[in-house]
Amino acid sequence: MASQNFYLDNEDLRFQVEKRVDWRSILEARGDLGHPGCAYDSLEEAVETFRDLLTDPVGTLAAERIAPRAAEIDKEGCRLEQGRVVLPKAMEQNLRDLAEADLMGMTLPPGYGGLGFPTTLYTAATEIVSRADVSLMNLFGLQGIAETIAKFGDEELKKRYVPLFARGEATGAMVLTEPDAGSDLMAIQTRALEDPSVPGGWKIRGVKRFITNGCGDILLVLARSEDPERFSGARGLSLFLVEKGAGVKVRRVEEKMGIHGSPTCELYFDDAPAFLIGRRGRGLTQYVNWLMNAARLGVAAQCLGIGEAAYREALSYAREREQFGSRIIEFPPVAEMLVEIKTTLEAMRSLVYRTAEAVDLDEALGARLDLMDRKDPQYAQVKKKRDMAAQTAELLTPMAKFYTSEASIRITNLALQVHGGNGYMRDYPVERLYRDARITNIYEGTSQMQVDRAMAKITKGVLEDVLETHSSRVYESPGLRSLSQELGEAKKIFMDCLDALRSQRGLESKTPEQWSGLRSLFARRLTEMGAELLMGYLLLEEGELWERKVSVASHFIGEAVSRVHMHAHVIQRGAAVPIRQAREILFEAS
Amino acid sequence: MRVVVWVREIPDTRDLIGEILGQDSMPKWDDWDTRIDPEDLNSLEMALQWKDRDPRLEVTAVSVGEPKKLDVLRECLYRGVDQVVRLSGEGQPQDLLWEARLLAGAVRRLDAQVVFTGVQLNETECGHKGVFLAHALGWPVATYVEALEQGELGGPMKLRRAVEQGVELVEATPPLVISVGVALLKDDPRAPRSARAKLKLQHKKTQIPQWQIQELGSFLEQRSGGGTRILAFRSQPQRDFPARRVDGSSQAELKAMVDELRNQGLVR
Repeated sequence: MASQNFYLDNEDLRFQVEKRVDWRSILEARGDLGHPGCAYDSLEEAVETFRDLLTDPVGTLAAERIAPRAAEIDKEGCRLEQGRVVLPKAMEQNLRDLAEADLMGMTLPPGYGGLGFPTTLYTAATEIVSRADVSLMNLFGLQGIAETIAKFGDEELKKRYVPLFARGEATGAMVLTEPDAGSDLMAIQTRALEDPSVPGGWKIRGVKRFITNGCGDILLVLARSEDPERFSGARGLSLFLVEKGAGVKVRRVEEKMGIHGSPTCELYFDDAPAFLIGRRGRGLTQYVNWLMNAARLGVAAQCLGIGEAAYREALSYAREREQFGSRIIEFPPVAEMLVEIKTTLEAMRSLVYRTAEAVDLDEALGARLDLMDRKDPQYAQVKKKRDMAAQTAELLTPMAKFYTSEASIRITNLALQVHGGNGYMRDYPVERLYRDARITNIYEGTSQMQVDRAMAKITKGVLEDVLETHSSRVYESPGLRSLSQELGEAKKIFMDCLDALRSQRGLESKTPEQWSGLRSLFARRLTEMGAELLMGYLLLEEGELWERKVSVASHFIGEAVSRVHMHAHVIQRGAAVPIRQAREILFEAS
Repeated sequence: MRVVVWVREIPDTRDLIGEILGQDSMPKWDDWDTRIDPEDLNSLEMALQWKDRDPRLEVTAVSVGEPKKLDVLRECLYRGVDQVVRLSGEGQPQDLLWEARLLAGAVRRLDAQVVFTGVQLNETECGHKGVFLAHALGWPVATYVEALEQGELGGPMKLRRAVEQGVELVEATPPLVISVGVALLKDDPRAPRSARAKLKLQHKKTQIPQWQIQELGSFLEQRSGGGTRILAFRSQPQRDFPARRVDGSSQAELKAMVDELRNQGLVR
């Protein structure tokens, strides 16, 4: 029988939300706990409230309404009719259902009609919604757009627009990419021109491409507002709010491989009136950076949803399908695929919720610091905590986005394989999930971009600090102790590789350019090693809270440690100059 | 105008596994989860949709007895009713007739004009929840209603009933009991709304008013109940259908199968 509730039927997610997440630290930092008149009388009451909301409306809506519509949405897709984007009918129903349940402003301030919940809870809701319909996440999971206005916009903009989002009466879009500025946002050409005669005082001119929900009502547009001669690159970019209207034309809706329910548009701005958000020249470095990080965590949650859906499809198929007189789940090669999916999924989930916790702490402590007097005796202590949370969030956000997106593609691939030929047919949902997953390591910054960002933090030693807080733990149980030891040895190998690259010793020494080439070449391997070591430690900690996690940890660590060895071997071999070698391999005739 | 919705908490019989009856042949109610009767959710939805169209309407949800595992009245608050009342039914025989009379007392006390109920399909009640209540109130009842075509406050109401040959439209003037039909399809406009997050936060600690039997007028002077008693439940043993595999590529085996079925008179 189909599940009635996508929260209650998910033991691992419930474990994270009800037992694992450090709600106390988050809520105390936010001022929601521990003083008279705050939101919750006790930690138990807060957790019960969260569990209650994830059960109904989130889990109920996802299972009973959203999931049954997913196939139809995928089939119908979005289309452009006389310049207007038409969403699948069932997608409109989904948005209405979410709005009626008050779920479109989960993290927005209550003063503007939002629910004011922590990001960690919103992440869980995003995961549940994504499991029901991957493409719906791109509309539900982009509440960061409204949050950006609430965080950086002036009072007038906040009053006017944030409540519309919270009520679900408006949807938004992040309008960044251009035909010649994809990963390289500093190359943006769209112009913003000052014009006191238009509402907002600015007008936008240019073309944007691959804009998710570009047909939305409220667009946040990154555009060049400063003279390129004086302020080149990122310093010349500002963020603007543009309302859908005559100056904004949808020229095209892309035909995509997956996420058919989410319209991807090409937009032409023909002197569209615009309001400046925050300060000039901070568009990319501050506001879009914040928004992208929020969206990256959203994509990581989307990957959990995809993984969960694919796992369940594969498991139920393997339990029912008979070949050679047995159910195929009894065959070791099939069971191995299922175990691989499930352990990866649980490791991913742990990483994502730790990331969300760090984001919540960073935000809450940052807000508290803003209100504190620098002479306050507690100021230094709060600042220290905040700085650590910020560093952790800046490392884990790209790391989680990179790891979970790559893993969701692996998972859907394995889940399809469990189905054999049936998995390749449109009749089975796993075919859709496989297509939907493929975008996750591309949008909101490709895996290569995420690795680049994570690597900057790893090189600075942030990962060492994070690993240290987990690896120094002493375990009572001999099983966990020996796993921890195994991880410790792998961690040492990882650190040796990292040190060799940092100190530029131990590998064949080369020119500075060659060193930087090597660093960028090995960054993916180092980020993956670091992420898997961290997930290994996280699963060990969970083994103390939930018996079955010991088996999960044991399997995951066994696989992860062998991969650490493999990567280390490649790094220590120190490939020759990669680019020269690439030329020799790629261009046969030269 | 005030309308009442009569809601109940029922055992959740979906996905029951293991032994569901105890030693005494009675269901192990304590081990079962409960839920709000899905048919009551439909009748609640109909009342709330009416209120959406005409905000002057005031919707009150009423339920009998203490919650076992789920407070159905709180569930009604989460969906937007104006007020709720719990009727204390302790120490009384609790068959449907008795419960309907208790409800009738509350409806009179609330001075409501219309009552919505779900069909209620458990075995001892035969979908007569609304009928019993109408009898206790001395009001007309419309059963198997699937839509409220029109309802001007105080004026005649047009109701669409699902009957065996299709649908029929009936007109009725309050006071009136409306028993809402079954068959909840996903695209049915009555598909019940889910809880609203904001109302959940607002009402998670709301005090729920309780009315005692003594406060419900002449109810006690009547016979205490219909006299229905449940003596025992019996599980139906699973019927065993022995299955045999036939090799579809073997003509001989297929022929043997057809012959055997013919001999048993199952195919001609």
